[in-house]
Amino acid sequence: MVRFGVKLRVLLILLGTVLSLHSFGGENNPSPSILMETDISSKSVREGDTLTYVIKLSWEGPSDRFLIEQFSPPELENLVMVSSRSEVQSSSKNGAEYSTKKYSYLLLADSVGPAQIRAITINYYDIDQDQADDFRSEPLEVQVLPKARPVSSRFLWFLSAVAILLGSGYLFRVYRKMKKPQVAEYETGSLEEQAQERILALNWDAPEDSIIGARKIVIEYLEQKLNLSLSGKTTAEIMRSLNSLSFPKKKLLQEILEECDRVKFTPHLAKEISEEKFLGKLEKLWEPDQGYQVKL
Amino acid sequence: MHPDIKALQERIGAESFFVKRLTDEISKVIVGQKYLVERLLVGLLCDGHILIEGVPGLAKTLAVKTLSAAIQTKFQRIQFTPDLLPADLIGTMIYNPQKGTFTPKKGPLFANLILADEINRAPAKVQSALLEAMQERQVTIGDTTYPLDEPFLVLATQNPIEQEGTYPLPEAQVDRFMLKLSVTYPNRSEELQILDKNTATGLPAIQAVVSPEDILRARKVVQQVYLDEKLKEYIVNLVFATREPEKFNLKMKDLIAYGASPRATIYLSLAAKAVAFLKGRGYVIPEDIKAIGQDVLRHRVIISYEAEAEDLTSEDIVQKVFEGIEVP
Repeated sequence: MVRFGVKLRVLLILLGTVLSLHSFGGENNPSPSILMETDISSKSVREGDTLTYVIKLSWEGPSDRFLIEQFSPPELENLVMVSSRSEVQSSSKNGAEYSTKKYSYLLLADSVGPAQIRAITINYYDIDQDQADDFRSEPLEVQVLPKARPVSSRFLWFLSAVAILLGSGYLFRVYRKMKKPQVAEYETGSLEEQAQERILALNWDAPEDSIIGARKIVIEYLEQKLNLSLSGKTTAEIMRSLNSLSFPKKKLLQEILEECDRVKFTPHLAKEISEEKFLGKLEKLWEPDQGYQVKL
Repeated sequence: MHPDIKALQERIGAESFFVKRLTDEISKVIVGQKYLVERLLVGLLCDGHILIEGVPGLAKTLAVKTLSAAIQTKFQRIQFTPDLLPADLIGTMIYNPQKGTFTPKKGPLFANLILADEINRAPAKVQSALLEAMQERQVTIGDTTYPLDEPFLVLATQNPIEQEGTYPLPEAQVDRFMLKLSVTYPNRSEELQILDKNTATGLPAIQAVVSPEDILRARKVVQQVYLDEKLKEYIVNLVFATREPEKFNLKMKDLIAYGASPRATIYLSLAAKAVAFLKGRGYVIPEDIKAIGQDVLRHRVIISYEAEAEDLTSEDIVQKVFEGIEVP
């Protein structure tokens, strides 16, 4: 009795082992699973442009392991089907075989606004497992945007905008010129007054620096008054530049500039220059009654 | 320590009295050519030799002869020809058969004012003999060296045309001339005056109105004319700009083969002092440097083949340097 009991126990263990090996599967018994993925080339598209919608099925095993039922293309809203194609690929990795089947749809954006690719159901049959099943994709939303303007058109718009701006600026200047009073030459804030204010603002405790500064002010005044470029020129060159102008105070100007040169190039003589006399000469230069006139 | 400009100004007033007398005397014969006469005086005051270039008939030789006649000095004119020998300039040892000895016979270089007419027509050995005497201010005949008298001033002329058969002065020797003057044609009214003066009663006689002592005294005063540090910097900038123009933002590096030598710096400052003296000023202003700059620098800036290809002259380059360097 005891010996029969032991034999039955061994038999049950062996049977259990065989059953467990069968239920966990192995290399000769691949998993029946199939993976479905969907993808879209862009979530937004301009009106009249195209996008690609792809359904990818992949599984472990040879390409003919599953029979995939023919299915209709996905239903579309605000999109038009242009073309479709499918392809099957097989590859092996670490001795195992893998297969992929890809369905690609080229879709054309119809009109501006939201568009949709509806859900699709695919039925399949696993030959190895003798099982049939299906899976369903998720619906996808796409935004259709307005058509892009041609570059040339944008450039023309830009040029037009620039032309309008320049034109209005020119008109504004002409308007201001017409409105400007003609008698403002020696009014408050005239070039002469401005120059005199700058002269008085100089620090006359340091006569050398002040006289050199005064020369600069006189030259800037002449440049503005007579529309000449005199910076960096010597006194003789400045006087020659004024030859073509009717210039009643030419002699006075020459005296002032020569006095400035004397101080600039013999600094120790600066103290001997009479500040009052020098300022008096400058005041005479600004006097409006014999102002400078450009010979026309 | 600042120089006493006021006292210097007074000295200039006293020592420059001869300038007006000299120019008045020269203007009796020379019409116009103010530029030429003023530069001759600058050379005289700075003890610097002058090379005068101009086409024939511009009174180059006449101006120099008139200047020498107005100064109580010994004048010699040497016409440079292809067959001239160094001994014809400096002199030689002559055998005296009665005494049986050699005695020195001094050449025409032993004078105060030398007019080397058409200097480029004599061969290089003669030019070298003259230029050596110019530099050393002494001449060796036989075993004896003889110092040349003061003032000693060489005024050389050369003709820019008819270059065939001439011996152009080497650059190194041209550098020994303080100034190179480029004499141009007179204007219309001057030409009319020339016509009147030369076709009437003949040229008036020139009186010697200046003594060599006057000139030597004036030279000492010229050396004391005040040149401010700002202007010394300006002169050095001008000279350096001919050597390293790119450092002064002047795009002329390819146009200059050789820039001006340190002699240019020395002569430019001396000549500017002389210009200030002639204007009765005891200090130099930038205008003085600009006025004489071209004459000091034009023969010291050697242009490249690229500049020649672009039809540029050394004067164009110097002009660009003056335009590009900021005046203090």
